[in-house]
Amino acid sequence: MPFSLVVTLLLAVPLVASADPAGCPPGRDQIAIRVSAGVRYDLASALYTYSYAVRNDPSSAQEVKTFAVDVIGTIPQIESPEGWRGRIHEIRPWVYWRAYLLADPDRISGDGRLSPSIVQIKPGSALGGFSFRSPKPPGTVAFHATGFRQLPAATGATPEEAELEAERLAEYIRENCPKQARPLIDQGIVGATIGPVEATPVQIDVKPDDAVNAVNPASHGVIPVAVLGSATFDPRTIDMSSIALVPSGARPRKSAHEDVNRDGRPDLLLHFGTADAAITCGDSALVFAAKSTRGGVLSAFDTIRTTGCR
Amino acid sequence: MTFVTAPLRQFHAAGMDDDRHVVGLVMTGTSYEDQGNAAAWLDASLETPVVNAQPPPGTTGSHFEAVSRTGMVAGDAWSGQRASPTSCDGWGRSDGWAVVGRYNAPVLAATLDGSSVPCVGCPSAMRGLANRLLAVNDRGEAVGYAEARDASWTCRIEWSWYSYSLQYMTTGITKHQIYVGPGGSPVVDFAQTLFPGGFGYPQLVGINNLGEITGNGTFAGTQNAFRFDVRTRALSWLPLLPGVSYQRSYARGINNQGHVTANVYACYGQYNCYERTMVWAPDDKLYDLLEDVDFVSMNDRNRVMGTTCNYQYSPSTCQVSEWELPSASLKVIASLASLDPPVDSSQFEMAPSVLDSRGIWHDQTLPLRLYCVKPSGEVAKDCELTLRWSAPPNSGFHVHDEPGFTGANRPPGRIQTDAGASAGSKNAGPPGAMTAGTGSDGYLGLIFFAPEPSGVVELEATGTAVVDGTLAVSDPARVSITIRVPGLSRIAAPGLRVIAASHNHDSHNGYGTADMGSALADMASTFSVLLQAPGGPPRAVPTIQVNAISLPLGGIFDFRNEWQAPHWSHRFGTDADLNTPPLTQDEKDVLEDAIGATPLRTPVLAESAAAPGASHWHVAL
Repeated sequence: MPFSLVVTLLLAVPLVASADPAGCPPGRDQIAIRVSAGVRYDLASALYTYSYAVRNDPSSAQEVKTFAVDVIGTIPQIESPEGWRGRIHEIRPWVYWRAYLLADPDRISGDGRLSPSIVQIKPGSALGGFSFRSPKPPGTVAFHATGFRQLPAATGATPEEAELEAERLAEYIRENCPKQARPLIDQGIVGATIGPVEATPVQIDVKPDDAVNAVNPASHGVIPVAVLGSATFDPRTIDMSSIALVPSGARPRKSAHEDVNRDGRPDLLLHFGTADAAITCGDSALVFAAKSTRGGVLSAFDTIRTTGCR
Repeated sequence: MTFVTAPLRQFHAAGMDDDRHVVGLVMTGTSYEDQGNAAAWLDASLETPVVNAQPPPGTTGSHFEAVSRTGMVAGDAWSGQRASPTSCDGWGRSDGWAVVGRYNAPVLAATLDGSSVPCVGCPSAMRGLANRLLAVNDRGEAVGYAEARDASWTCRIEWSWYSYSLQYMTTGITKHQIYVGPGGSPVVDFAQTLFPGGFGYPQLVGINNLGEITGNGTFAGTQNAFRFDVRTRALSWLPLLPGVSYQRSYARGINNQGHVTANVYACYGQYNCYERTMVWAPDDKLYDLLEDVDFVSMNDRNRVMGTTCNYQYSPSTCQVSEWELPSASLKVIASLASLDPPVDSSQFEMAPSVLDSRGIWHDQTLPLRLYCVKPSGEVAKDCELTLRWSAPPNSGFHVHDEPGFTGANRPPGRIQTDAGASAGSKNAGPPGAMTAGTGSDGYLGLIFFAPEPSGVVELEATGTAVVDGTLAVSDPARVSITIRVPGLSRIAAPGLRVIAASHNHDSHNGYGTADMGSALADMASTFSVLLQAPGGPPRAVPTIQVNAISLPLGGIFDFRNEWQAPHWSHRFGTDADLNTPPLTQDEKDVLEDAIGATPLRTPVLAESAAAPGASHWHVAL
């Protein structure tokens, strides 16, 4: 009987991009964003649905123009917020969204300047609705985002002077502004989030004795996580040195092999420091990843509910 | 001047290389145009045939027309019956193959049959008709002709030989004189591409390693021999003999010193006419060989060879004659000094220098070595060399350096000797000139500093030294230095249009690297796709206009005709200006997105306060 398991995971990943040196024109990286990611599995279609919300920090100097997530394999469906368009990027393995809606798209301004989209994510605001489906289980992937920036402009009293200044500016950028000297889509910021990876899905049980899986992010305690064995999976084949939570990278403080769920098969009981897991209020899933000693990567997730939040 | 004669044979000699190897046709019929097979001999005495002088497989007849200095041959081969050209019937050539190869190895497959080699400026009708290569140089460049016909063509005769002149006997046939570029491609129609609007009825018969072509054309109302430089487009005509009342001439070949062999028909009054074989030297001096022979050629060692055949009997018999012209007692040779050992050449290639945006020069240099050689082959010591170098107009596609335009005097570049003497300039100005001695070791080392503009720089060197107790002066040695950014080709892609005639360099503004071409093509393609909103109605896709990329040879693209910036970055084929003002806001937004789907970077907006509509995006790889 098919079933669907719905999990929502919120991740806060504020980023400060490595900026170009002083003297370079503003890049497309003058943004600091938090990406909340959700993942849902549909047993009937055997597809995971990954969804994201992007919050542009009030300190950002630019509005968010594009957002992208690393993907692998086929992506049968992409959903976009209103005014945005999502697609598989032409030269990067990304699901790539771009704010397209313009106030006056058909206007010819007679110059070379760009107009900002009216649905760009302004500093201090958030936008959800970015999602796609994938047959691949979750793991740590990179996200990419760029801010809206008018093209660096060189002006001149005559077209010839403008041309000369533009060439000088282009050359200056090429030689002195390494970040902006990259292809356009690589000029933004990069961070970590949850997305599809090449992995074998396994099962975990967060707090095996707690059906709600309540977690207080402010706790200084530990979170027990049981990696459950099955007829096709023996947790003793896990490479212990590779275990980590996604995407925080938290490592277990303790581990032991025992039959946690009393099904007669060995399980692996792990204890993670709550602070190490970097869980924040509103997070609703814990994602686990590890390597197998038999090769390949293992991936699993379970729901949680944060408590003690105001 | 000596004169030797080879034995009578059924051999029609057409060319001789520096080692006196002779190539031509062994006739089995009564005329040169009749049946035969290509043949080559190790010596002009025709004692020892070359093995493997074979045409392409499957052909029934062939002949060699010419041989280069080092043994590259050109000619043609055919299949089927090749009957008398005096009749409309029986001309059984199934096609007109042209062959280029070496006489001492199996001849390469046919390279010019009109279907396998693209022909620039040739009508498609040339396919399947006769093509013939008449000469080839050591770089594989060749000249010859290709025949085409119009719809009214009914007679297969196209020409016959009479009194050493080509007599056109039919209508409806167009003979396209062709120039085959290095590597066998592209094939260029001389009259339409190399010399548009030039003289009538050109015939190309010879090409040397300097890219000089010799041939015949109509000058002053009669056929006359000419010498034409493919690179500089300089044209000169065989001079009139003193006192003649009428003269016509027919070129037969050209060697690497620029000596043209020709048959000259001259009249002094109404009845006093004669026909002679002559050598037209680069200094316009005419050497009269006092004989009248067919198919005369001259190698680089002052040897002249010709053939006279008796076509009255079958098989015809021919006499091969050979002369030796008085040679200069000195010869100047140039070498690429960066190789060990240095390699002699008359053709060099290098990259242009660069003045970057910070005003820093990045010199590109070519190390050369010049030396003088005596007739014995010994290097002459203490040879005094006079050097002159200049930048021939338009060889770098800067139209403005042609006569009559403003901004001429392309920078000739600078030469510095190992002893520190320097002359010439990286800036626009007159040709460079200097004198320098080779010293006691016999060699002059020098560095050529390329200017920023690409194009050809011609270096002429004349040596003076004591030979056998006498002060001897060499003929000028000519060295060609091609300054270029390699690998640029015309950028073209659906949805993309390079605006011609921009920036004062005619339509030469749209050349880039292969990677740049791919990036711009991908950009245009992605732009077209992205412009169609999912689920929305189809939208017209505007053509992306490109104001400029680079010149064909790269180098500085001085759109103000000043041999300097602006437009200085458009020199490597990796920078392009996109004309964005005509686009809507949405289209510009999509274009930026499409640029992001390529490796292109640094879009910079060039804005003009005086003319906002002239703003554009500068993109680069």
